[in-house]
Order: sequence, then structure tokens, then C-alpha cells
Amino acid sequence: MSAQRQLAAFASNLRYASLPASVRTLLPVLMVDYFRIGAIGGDTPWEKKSRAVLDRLSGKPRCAILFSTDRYDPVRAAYRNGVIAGSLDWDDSHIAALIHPGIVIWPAAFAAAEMAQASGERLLEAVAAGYEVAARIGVSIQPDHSLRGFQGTPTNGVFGAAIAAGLLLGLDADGLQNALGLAASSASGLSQFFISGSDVKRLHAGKAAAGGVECALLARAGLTGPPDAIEGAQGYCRAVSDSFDPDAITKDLGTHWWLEAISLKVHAGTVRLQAAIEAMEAIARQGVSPSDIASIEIGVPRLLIGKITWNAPVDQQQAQMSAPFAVAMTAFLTPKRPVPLIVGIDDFAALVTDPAVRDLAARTHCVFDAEIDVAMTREVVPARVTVTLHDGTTREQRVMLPKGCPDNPITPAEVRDRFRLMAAAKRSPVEIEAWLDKSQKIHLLPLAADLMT
Amino acid sequence: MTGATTALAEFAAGLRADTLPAPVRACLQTLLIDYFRVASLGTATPWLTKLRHGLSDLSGPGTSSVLYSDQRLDAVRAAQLNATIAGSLEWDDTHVGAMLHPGVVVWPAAFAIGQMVGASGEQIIAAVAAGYEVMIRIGLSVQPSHFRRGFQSTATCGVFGAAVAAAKLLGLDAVGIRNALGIAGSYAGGVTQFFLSGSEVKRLHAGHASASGVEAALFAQSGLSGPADMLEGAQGFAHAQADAFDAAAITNGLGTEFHILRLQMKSHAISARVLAATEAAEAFVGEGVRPSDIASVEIGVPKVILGRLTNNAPTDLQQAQMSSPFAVAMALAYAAEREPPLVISVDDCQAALAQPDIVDLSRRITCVLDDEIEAKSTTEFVAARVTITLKYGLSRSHTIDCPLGAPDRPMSLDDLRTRFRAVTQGRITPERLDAWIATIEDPSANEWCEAVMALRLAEPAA
Repeated sequence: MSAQRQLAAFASNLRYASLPASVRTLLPVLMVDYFRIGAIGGDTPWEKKSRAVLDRLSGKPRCAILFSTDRYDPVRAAYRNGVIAGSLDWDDSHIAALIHPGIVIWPAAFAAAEMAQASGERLLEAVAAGYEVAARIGVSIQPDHSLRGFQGTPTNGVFGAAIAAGLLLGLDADGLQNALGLAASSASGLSQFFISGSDVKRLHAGKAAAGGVECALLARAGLTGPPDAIEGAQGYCRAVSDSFDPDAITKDLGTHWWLEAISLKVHAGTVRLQAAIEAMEAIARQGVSPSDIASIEIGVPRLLIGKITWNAPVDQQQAQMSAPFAVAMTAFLTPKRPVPLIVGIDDFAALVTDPAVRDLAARTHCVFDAEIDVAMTREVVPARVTVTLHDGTTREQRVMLPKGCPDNPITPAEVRDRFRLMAAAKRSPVEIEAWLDKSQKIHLLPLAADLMT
Repeated sequence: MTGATTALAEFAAGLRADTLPAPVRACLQTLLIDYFRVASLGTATPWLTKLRHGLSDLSGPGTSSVLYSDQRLDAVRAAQLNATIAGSLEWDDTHVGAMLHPGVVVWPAAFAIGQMVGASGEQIIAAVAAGYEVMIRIGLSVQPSHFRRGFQSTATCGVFGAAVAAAKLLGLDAVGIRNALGIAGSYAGGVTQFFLSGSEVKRLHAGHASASGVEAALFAQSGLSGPADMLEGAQGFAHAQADAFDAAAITNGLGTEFHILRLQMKSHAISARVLAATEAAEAFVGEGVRPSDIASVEIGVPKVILGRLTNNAPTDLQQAQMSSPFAVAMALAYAAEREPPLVISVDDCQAALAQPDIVDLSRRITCVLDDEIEAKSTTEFVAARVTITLKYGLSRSHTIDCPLGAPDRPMSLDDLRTRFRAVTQGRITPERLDAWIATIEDPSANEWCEAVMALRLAEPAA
């Protein structure tokens, strides 16, 4: 049976009651974290600009927009919600698949669920299938896919979105297989922004979420895609990667859950710089102030050289992808902030042009570190930070399990606390507690879309 | 040094209809007529019906016409439907070297935005000229390795052509157009597994590209930026989606040499790369060869189509239209039954799949790599040698160096008019068609976009 068929059959047969308890526990946690970033992602400059376009392109307004009274058609709702939640670099991450699945799959799933009046249980099944499909396709072609210049969130994400939306729209295994075949021609998204900045990455999750919903709707209308567009000789995986491992897609499908290897981020930047921020925070807490610092070296694994190692970001997007800049910011922010430090989206916006931070970032360099390289796993990216002071002494800190990785998770209670903190500007404390209660019982909700209100 | 992305953006921003070389303007008129000709055959396909159904309730307020109808949709959905109507028949204009069909992506994007903003005919001409040129040059810069990896460049490079045409009509300057290109790069997708496994996805490729390009341009107009070096950057389009990148193919002669003059137009609704083989087959029939005389057929092909357009047992319509052996089998069978010139339509391809004699003949046709054909094929057209072995043992060959419709054997405006009349017989009166062609020839007229889009088809007589 083709890999694409196996994914479709897996999704079609997935039942909430048969999910492992650990997965059932994790899903609402991921959902609350998605709504957390949804609460703060609206009204950014890029969200306003993209909204001005999407406003004119939305058809029948059937689906809710996060923390807004606006309603869009399901494709455009998925797009806008993907931009709101997915443009902060504060999302969940799958290290091995090099993807942020949540910001693509939740928007697609909620849009389809609202259109189909689906229950909470159906939504969770669809999301579990979507995460798993996107992660498995990602794992099968990474890291070469990323090295070529693709960003895994919009490329592999569209398959997860198509599966999640397709399930909620009532597709059977044949329909899901077609939706995946159509999605293979919709999968796109490049990573030149790592080098040249710009706003384009802000659109990536929304584009993929919308693409997935559209593919599901077209498959529902009877359009067909190649039955093996994912793994075929001229299919997606071989086109976008030079090292494709088909077994990774299907091995232990339904028994091993890649979605359990998700990391959540403490700070608003790529998941791959979280350890470096944590290491710098620890050094700063020892009383090292920015004026003491001559230079900083960050030890990183080989995969990240040339991706997150630029130390003179041209814009905020690139700053959120720059380990040197994030570490320099951390040196400045830590002395002024309570424990633990949270580097937020507003910090990047405020400091990207700050001369003192930029000056320190220019004295911060990433180097290949063999020990860190070996310690990097499919679940965690560690870091070493070595600070050289003006007096010639050095301070060194390694962080092997940054907070938020699967072995050092942000706990469900902490996730709820983060939601309370960040939703406070949009909702009253009473509303927040009522919503959190509902979120913990989502599998019992007759209408999943109630959570969007 | 100016990078390729910036060079294309500056070229597009500076291009004006009144300074275009006369042959380019004349060519654009021909291509526009051909776009409508192809589209007149694509308004009732099963996949279009399904696409319309799938996209119902998904359009914003209507600004832009759907071809041959009174329906108006938002610019993105109008571009998507119109590109699907015209771009899903394998009958569209083709740049062989760039391996793409520019017209079916660029015209829909230009008219969708043109109607939205009330653009003049001259503005449309300038925008489309820029869109074609950008799309073809990007294709040339990454081919053939882009294709070999498994990408279909109408879908991938198409987003850039559509984005440039749309951005220009939205009034964006060079920086704005560069941003539209940068955003469009993240929409560039589309793989070729359909060559092997069939399905309807390729029917949707042009529509996806055209809609995505329009969307990217609208985002750029709204102030969003894209990487300034999206095409040539170390993690940009060319690096990600090709194994070799020739930046000079983008910049050489930009603004003075126009690749739009080097397009292939198609006599049949099949891949441009199999037209020469089809013409060779037709020549055998002219000499009296009949399918029942034939023991076997060998087609000499260049490397670039081997394994892609050489499947002699297609299982669906899409594969049938992309098969050199099947095209030759159809030509041998249909030419024997009909008055010349032979025209193989989409319906012919569909019907042939159910005709045992054609299916059987196709299975007796093999493709082999032929060094001479390899040498004769260029980035603009694919040559072919067809060798037939007759049942009584004799064998003979025809070689077609350059098929009809190729840049050096172009179809004339009168050829096109005749063909357009033929395919719309009973659905558009000759008087109406002539009046419409006269409209095309005068893009300075007021409300030109609306007048061009006003062409309608009557229901075929029962």
C-alpha cells in the first residue's frame, strides 16, 4: 500500500477513544497554547496589511476569527487565523520535522469544524491526524529539505491541514488520499527570509492552512490528485529533498506518535535559539551586565550554521531568527526583568533597531560546536554560550534541555498561566476562566467552534 | 551588481506598451486570441464543474469576469477559474525551453486585476508583456533540472508571471513588484507525479499559479514585503527547486530580446513536446499507410522527454495527452479517417482511450533516445523521428525538425481566425468573432478590458 494511502487510511480510522492517554492529554495543551498566541497576534503591522487584502477576498462568512467578531469563509478564515497565530515565532515546534504544526493545523481544523458543525471530539481526532501526517512527511525529508531552502511549516504543513480539514468535512480514505494528492501541488514556501528578512514568513502558516482547507474542499467536490503524489518518483518528497526516507512516513503509524515530540517556546523566536537565550540568561543572572561584555560565542549544531547565525538582522523577522541578536537582547533584558525571563514579540520590535543591542550582537558569533552537535536530537536543540568579559575572564553555560522541550516541558498548568497572562488584554478574568474550563472539556463539546467565541 | 530578482522587477516597472517592439505587440494580439480560442473549449469540462462547486461561496465581492459568462468573482478566484478554463486542455501556448505555458497563467491574472482597477488596454498589454517575459526567463534559468526534480514549471514559475502582471496593473513600482516576486516565491509549488499516476491535479496547476500570483501582488500592494533576492538567494527559489541556476538567462538581453516571440502554439490538445512526432505520423498517413498495416513504431526522442512523455499505456485523459506513443497512435488512426488538416481535440483523446485499436497500437510504439533528434531539439521545440515497421517487413522514417506552430513555423493570424471559427462553430457567429478580433486589435479603445471579456458562447445547438 502506498505511503499516501496509508496516511489517508490512518487518518480515516483514527478514533479519539483509541488515542493513547498521553496524546489525549497533550492535545488540549497544544490548543490552549495556540489560543495564547492567537490572543496577541492580531493587529501587528503585517496582520493589518494582510487582513486588508483578505477582507476583500472572503466569501460567505461562516467561520470565526481569533479574538475578533469578524467572520470569513473557511479558506480565508484559515488564512487569517494562521497569520494571527503563526506570525509571532512563538508557536509549537517539531524539531525533527522542522515544522510548526499547530499554527497551520488548528486554523484549518477550526475553520472546517465550524463549516461542518463538528464536535470537539471530531476536532481532536482531525488535529491529531493532521499533526501526525505533517510531522511524518517532514521527518521523511528533513534536514535536506530545509538545507535546500524550503521552510517546512508551509510546505509540509499543507498536508496536515488538508487531512484535518478533510476529516472534518467528511472525506473518507479515498477522499483524503485525493486531498493529499492535491496538497502536493499546493505545498510551497522558501526560507530566503532567513538571509534577507522581509514579511513573507508572516504569511507562511496562513497560506498553508488556507491551502489545506481548499484542497479538502476540492477533494470533497470530487477532484482527484495522484494517489502517490507524496512518495512517487516524480512526487513531492523527491522534488523537495535529496534524502527521502519513505519508511519514516509509515513506520509505526498509529502506534508511535511523533506529535508527542512537540516543543513549546518560552520566547518569541525560533525554537532553535531558546537554549541560547536560557544560557545567556543564566550568565546574566550571575551579575554580568552588557557593559562588561567584550564578545559572545554561541556553540550551535551544524544544521543551524547559515540559518540562525546572522548577527546583523535587517528587520524584526530576521531578528527573531537570529541567535546572536536574541542572545544580545537577553544580556540587556535580564537585569531588568523578573525570573524567569520571557523575551516577547514586543521586545524584538522595540530592540531590533537599538544601537547598543545591535553593537553587542555584532560582537556575538556562532560557531560549530561538536559537543552540541552530538547532543542535538530529534526533539531538542541545545546550546553553549561563552561570554568573554573586558577583563579577559570568561563565563560559560550549556543548556542541554531548554524549557519547553519534551523532556523539560512547559507544564499544562504553566500553559494555562501563559494563556491567562496574554489573553488578559482581550478578555476579562471571568471569561478567561470560563474558556479554560471549556478547553479542558473540549472532547465533550457538541460544537468545537464554541471555543472560537 | 543588480540581482536577478531586482533586475526583473526594474524591467517590469519600466516596461511601457508604446515602446514595445512592433512584433511583440503583434504577437500579444495573436496570443490573446489564442487564449480565448483555447478557453472556448474549456468551459464545460468535468474538472471545471467540480472546481466551481468546490469554490462556491469562497469569493469576495465580484470585480472580475469569469470567461464566457456573466459571473463576476474577486480577482483571485476569477484568475483561478479562468486559468483553469484555458489552462487545463493541453492546447495552450508553450515555451519549450522554459517548459511552461505562460498565456494561461498571465492573461487571467492581468484581466482579473485589470477589470478590478479599470485598467486601459495599453496597461494590460504592458503588464502581460512583462508577465510573459518574467515567467519565461525564470523558467529558462532553472530548466531542465527543475523539471527533472519533479516540478511543473507552469505551476511554479507561473506565480511569478502572474504576480508581475498583477502588480504592474496595481500600479506598483519596482520595489513593489520586487516584493510581489518575493512573496510569490513562497507560493511556487506543483509537482509532476501526474505524469506517472494521472489524476486531475494538473488541470488545476495554471489556476493555482494565476490565483497565487494575484494574491501575492495584492499583499505587496498592501505593503507587505518579500525577500529582495527571492529568486537567486542562497535559500531562494532556484536553490530550493533546481540543481543548476543560470542567472544570465534572466538578465541577458532583458528589455531588448523578447522570449515571448519564441513560443510554440499547438495544433492539437496534447503536450507541445509530442507535436513533432504527431506531425510525422500524419505524414505517413498522407503517404497511404493505414494503422492496420503497422507492425511496430519507434519514436526517436531527446533525453528531456524520455520517461516523462513516453508512457505507451496511458490510463487516463491526463496521461493520454502527455504521451508521445499515444499521440502517434491517435494521429495514425484519426488522420486515416478525416480530412486534413488533422486536429486532435481533448474529446478525441478521451475517446481514444476507449478505442481498442488505438490503445493496442500505442502499446506497440516504443521511444528510444536518438542522438540526432537530441541534437536537433532546442530550448524552443522538440524534434522527432518516427520509424514505422510495416507488417510485410519494410520500415521507413519521417523526421520533423520543427513542428507547426513553433517559433520558426508560426501560425498566422488567419490560421488562428480559421481555427477559432472552427472550434466555436454554432456557438459564436463569424460576424461576432470578427468584431471581437477587431476589438483586440485596438487596445486604445475605452473600456477595452470589459469589451474583450464580453465575448459569449451560445449553447451548442441540440
